[in-house]
Amino acid sequence: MGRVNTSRTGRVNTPAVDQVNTYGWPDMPGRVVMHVDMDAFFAAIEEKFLPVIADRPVIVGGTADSRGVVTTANYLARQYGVGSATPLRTAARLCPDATFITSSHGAYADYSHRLVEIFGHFTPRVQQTSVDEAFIDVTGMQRHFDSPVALAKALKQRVRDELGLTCSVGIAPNKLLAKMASSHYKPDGLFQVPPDRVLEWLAPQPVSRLWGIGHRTEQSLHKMSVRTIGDLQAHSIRALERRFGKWGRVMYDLARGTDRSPVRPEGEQPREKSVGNEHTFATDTDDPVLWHATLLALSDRVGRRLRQAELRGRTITLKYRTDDFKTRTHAVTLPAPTSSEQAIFGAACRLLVELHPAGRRVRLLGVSISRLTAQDEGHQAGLFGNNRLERSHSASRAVDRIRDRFGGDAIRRLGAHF
Amino acid sequence: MAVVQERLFGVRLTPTGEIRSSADFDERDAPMYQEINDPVDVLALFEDGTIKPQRFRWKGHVHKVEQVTGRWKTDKGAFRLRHFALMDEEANFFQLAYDERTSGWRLTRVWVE
Repeated sequence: MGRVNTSRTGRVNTPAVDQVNTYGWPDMPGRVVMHVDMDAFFAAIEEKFLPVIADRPVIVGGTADSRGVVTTANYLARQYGVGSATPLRTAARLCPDATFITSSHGAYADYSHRLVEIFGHFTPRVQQTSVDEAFIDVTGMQRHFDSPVALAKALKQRVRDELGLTCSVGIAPNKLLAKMASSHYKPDGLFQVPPDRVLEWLAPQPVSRLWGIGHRTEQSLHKMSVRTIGDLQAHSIRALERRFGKWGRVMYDLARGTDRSPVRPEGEQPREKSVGNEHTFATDTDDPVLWHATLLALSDRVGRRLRQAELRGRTITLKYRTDDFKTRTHAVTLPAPTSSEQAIFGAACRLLVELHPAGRRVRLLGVSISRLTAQDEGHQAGLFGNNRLERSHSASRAVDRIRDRFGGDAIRRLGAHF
Repeated sequence: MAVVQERLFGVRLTPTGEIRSSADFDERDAPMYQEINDPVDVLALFEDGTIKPQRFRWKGHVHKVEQVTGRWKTDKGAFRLRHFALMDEEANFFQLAYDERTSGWRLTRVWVE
């Protein structure tokens, strides 16, 4: 199969100015992986619901005067320097004319679910990595589509027809390159990494574009005069290992676009390492009753999530942020794994009472549990089946059944804050 | 749009949920959704496995649905809520929810400019 003409930028969904080649199936004899990234997903859904705001800067996450952060800003708002995680009040200063919308998480979750259903019509090899991103392994689909680009165009069209939303797609021989490609041209982009010129394509890009290279590693690399991926390619594996240990070898591979990680559909993914929830108070508080009520609500959610996933955990971690913005975490390991909110709550309370610095107000509390095992793994029932722990577990299961039938708000723990 | 809302609802809704007369309405109030959650009467077609709201009555006014701009569902235990974002013929935007357990409808949100 020959190559098809498209633009030098690789943005094949827009008219080409300079013509070069993109690549057919025979040019990609190994894996063919796509990364699909929805464009400003939450903001795009809100614009679809409310066409009157589509030509305005839109900021999703809360009202302009609330304490939270921006979940998503549309592309107009981004021109003012507003992005995900910008405090809402800062966003209001940066972009005073923006329309602020409180998140509709239920709508976003449903659209995300429908998105994965659409991908599933093309292939079952879909790994959803967040509410608005997925990897799709399309290796071996040449019987159905003339080229990977034709497949990507069909997928984009279907998302547009069924959901009324746009996405950007990257096509490459692996997940690392596909993800870099999808962000190459946004919004509504389509880019195929040239499989015969991977090193050249990577070379001029900043090292921070490689996954796993955060701010600290980037600073260390800058000290070695490594600013682009090309600079990194110039270093030997030994030099990188001397400076960064095992991570140096990983970086060596990343700089060459090497990534062997498979696309893992749901069900083939490794078990979660921890389950947690956190809550930011509307105003910082020094009220111990409110702290405990919040810990109770958080423990309740963590326990329910554990039981839904048929897991138990042993290490309880309390996270809290005080009004001086210092975040601390403390953990305790229980003698036996649990999924009981009472056990989680008890441990979290002990940690807070023992470790909270006097005189400080609390801004955020979080509870998580780790060292997870399957529910039926290593658990011994009480000898006579009537000890306190067993009774607590059966009460939790009864509450779960009520919530399964009537919804999460149908029954609440007395004293829980939210 | 505020004028339309005043005519529709008899009052103007403010972002803080207060009801004001037009005399003291601050035009600089930011546009936002007003959370409502009122039961409403809805005339809807149930066809081809799809629910299509046609008209609804809220506070004595009948609104003709001009366009459904979005639809989604959320779980409420073993049952579902089916949500609709829609625009009436006077370009006002609303959100309705249909509860499969009770077969009842609620007006959940109104967009206030």
